[in-house]
Amino acid sequence: MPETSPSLPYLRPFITLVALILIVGSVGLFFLPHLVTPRWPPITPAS
Amino acid sequence: MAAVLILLVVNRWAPARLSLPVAVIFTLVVSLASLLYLNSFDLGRRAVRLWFFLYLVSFEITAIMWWAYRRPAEQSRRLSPRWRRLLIGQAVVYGAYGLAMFFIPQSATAFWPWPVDGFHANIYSAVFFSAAAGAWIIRREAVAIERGTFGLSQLVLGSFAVAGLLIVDI
Repeated sequence: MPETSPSLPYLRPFITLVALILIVGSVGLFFLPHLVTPRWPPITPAS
Repeated sequence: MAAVLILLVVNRWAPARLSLPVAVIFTLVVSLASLLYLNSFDLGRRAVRLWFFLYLVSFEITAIMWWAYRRPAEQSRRLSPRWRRLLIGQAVVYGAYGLAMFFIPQSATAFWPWPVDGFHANIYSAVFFSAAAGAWIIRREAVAIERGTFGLSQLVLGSFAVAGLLIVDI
């Protein structure tokens, strides 16, 4: 059960940062693609 | 994002047993794909340096956390043979398609509703490798939070992929 599962003391600060990046990235890509896609992913388009 | 938010709230080995390896595989594949196409990146741009920094650092930290916190599976419910077969099937299909997207990207994405170049096919393969890994990890037994994390991740991925296609196409 999750209640008996050991906690992970050093994980939360890192996961907080990852979650923030993912939320900003996902919301930006889905709802504001015209703003985000010119910058992401940062690769020269094949021509 | 759904799996990370659950891990952030719960912050325990279950569901980290599922989420950490999946995150390691995702960031590893995206990093490998980016390095394979390194010549296509303009390393003078700040966004490019940030791209590599975020993925390579995330991969390293997630891998270290996974190694540091590794434990055997806890007392968890054994899944029924039907669920086990479904998850193994999902792992095999997703894993095979991830390999195809990585190694034969043009053939693997020929049926997609939008054009996909080699770089993006390699990047998208990370999603399929991650889903395959998740299904494989919980194929035998999983606690409720792990089953919920895996199910919610697939629900969010599937529904937003369809919603995105409908929004752009209509």
